[in-house]
Amino acid sequence: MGNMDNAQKDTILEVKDLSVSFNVYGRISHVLDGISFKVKKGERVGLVGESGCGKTTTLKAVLNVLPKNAIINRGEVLFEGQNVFAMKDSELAAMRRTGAGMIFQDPSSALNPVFSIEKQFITALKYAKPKNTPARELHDIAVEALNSVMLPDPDRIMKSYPFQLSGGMKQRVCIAMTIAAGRQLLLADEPGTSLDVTIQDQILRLINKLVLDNHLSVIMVAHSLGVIRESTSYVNIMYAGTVVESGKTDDVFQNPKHPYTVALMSCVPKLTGEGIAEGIPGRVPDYMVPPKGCRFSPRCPYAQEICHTQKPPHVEISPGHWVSCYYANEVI
Amino acid sequence: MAEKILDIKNLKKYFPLKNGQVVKAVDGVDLELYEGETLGLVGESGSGKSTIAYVLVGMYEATDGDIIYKGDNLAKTGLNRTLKQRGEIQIVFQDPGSSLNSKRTVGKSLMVPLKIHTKMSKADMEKRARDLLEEVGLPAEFADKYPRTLGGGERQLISVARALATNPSLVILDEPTSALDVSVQAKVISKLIDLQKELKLAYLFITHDLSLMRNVADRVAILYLGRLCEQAPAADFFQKPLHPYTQMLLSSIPVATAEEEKMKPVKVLSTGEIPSPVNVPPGCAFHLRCRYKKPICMKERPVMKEVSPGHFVCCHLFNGDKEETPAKGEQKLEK
Repeated sequence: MGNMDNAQKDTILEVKDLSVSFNVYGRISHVLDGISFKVKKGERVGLVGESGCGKTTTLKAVLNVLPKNAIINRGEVLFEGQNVFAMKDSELAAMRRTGAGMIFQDPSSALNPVFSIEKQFITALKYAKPKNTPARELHDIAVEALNSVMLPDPDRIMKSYPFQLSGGMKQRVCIAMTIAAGRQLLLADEPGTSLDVTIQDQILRLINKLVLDNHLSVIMVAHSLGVIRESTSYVNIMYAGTVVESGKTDDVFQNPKHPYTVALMSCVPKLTGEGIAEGIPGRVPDYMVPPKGCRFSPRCPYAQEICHTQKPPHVEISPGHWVSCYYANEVI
Repeated sequence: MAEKILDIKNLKKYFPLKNGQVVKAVDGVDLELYEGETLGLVGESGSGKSTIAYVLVGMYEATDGDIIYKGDNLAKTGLNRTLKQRGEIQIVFQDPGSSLNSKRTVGKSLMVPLKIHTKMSKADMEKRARDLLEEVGLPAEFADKYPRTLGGGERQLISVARALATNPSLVILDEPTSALDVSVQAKVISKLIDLQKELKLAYLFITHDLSLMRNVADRVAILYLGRLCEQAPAADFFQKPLHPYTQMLLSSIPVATAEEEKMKPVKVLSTGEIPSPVNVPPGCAFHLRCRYKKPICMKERPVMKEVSPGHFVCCHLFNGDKEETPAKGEQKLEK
């Protein structure tokens, strides 16, 4: 029993069998289908998949900021043991202010162009810190946060407007705003994708450093396998609203088992220059009428009768390595 | 050796600003392109990759320099080129969502270049449009569809088909797959490679993705702030990157396998950001971010030097005496 309590304590976020649909003008789009994963304290967890596989929807569900037409069919998201879908508005607001925060893909649209960084930063902090914290103190917290993201000359940055900063600097400001409030869980939604590789490298290194130094947890969402391999310790591979494979990042990358993971990895151009695969045949399924069984079955070269009719369970094929495929051990 | 079809010499393209300053988007670039080869042009945003592409197709006039294409100098022509010259050099843009007209069917879009460049009858043009679709591996029925009903990869292949309509010998691919998922990218790229072999096309392949470049390019050129840093045959380039910027770029790429990790030069931590092309630093444009900078780098602009056959570097480390070249050769950099 004591062990279980410990395990509970160690887990900052648990997503259990989450299924989300969207009502699109009367038709139902079945997007997420039974997503489950855990984030422990201090852990860096990756969600990786192609566009439209439900990565961002999952993050939005974690913060409970899904659009109005979203329908949560089943499942729960437990943030520090509390179900975010059952939280009162005040509890939700508290969680978003100081518990979990998002770093968006495009820092230019995450910051308001008509207010100075100082104004935006202080406003955000006002809500995160106890009421009647003196303005001076809020200012100091902000400057310290800007320092911690290695921005040179924080005082000048505070006075600047977003258009005066480069993309990399804006992203650093966004990260500073997220951590300054003392948040424990960062939801990083493709934090480097809109930046150049050398700048992306700097931003990813920064997030890694902050997470390790402050014992934060992070969910890193990316479509690039390289980014995930270099910045996470645990990875969930997503395809069409399902987690098809999960495990320690090194295990999954060295020994991919799900046919989709294998195909995806073969499509990534390699620096070693082995040429490029032909791609995965077919298209991502239509969420209005998703395939009945395994969602990858229509494109899977190994699919059998059962794959088309019954959803495969997520099973542990070796310690800590989970795959949703009937034939994971046989075909590959 | 294949025939040289394009020779760019000291190409410059400046954009004057209203306040009297000048954006030096391309500042003295030399490039050559041979028949049937792929030249990869790599650089960060703001390095002038696309400007070079636009000058080549004639969307801009060059400020200075020469573009010798099969004997004709196209640098100053802008769009006043002969029909044949325009047809010879074609371009595929990054985002097929906005480069295809959403109100035209695919077939109509493909017929536009045919109308301008050929004297075919309408029926012939329709047939040719369908043939073009099949040539890029799409079903001919797509001619009656609208772009919005198709996926990103299919749309990009249609852009390729449109570029091929005029039988070009040089196709400029301006980040053709950056907006696509990897599995779709793989399809588009393998089709592009097939087409190149079949039609003996030369590609100027512009991208910021070095891993992709490794797999498609015969030669690679690295651009920084409108100037070339390094140019080399692809295999040579990835085995021993010489320019400090190239080393930083290569070690910044997030890679998906452990074997690739070994390919990278020992981690050169990326620092700083690309400066504004309005205020290009004096001397070597890269010296603000360079770990090897010497006093001379701040004053004098380095010149291109051939260090091994076909491998050119533009860096003072390789310009001067042998004793002064710490990063020479395959030497790995310390942490």
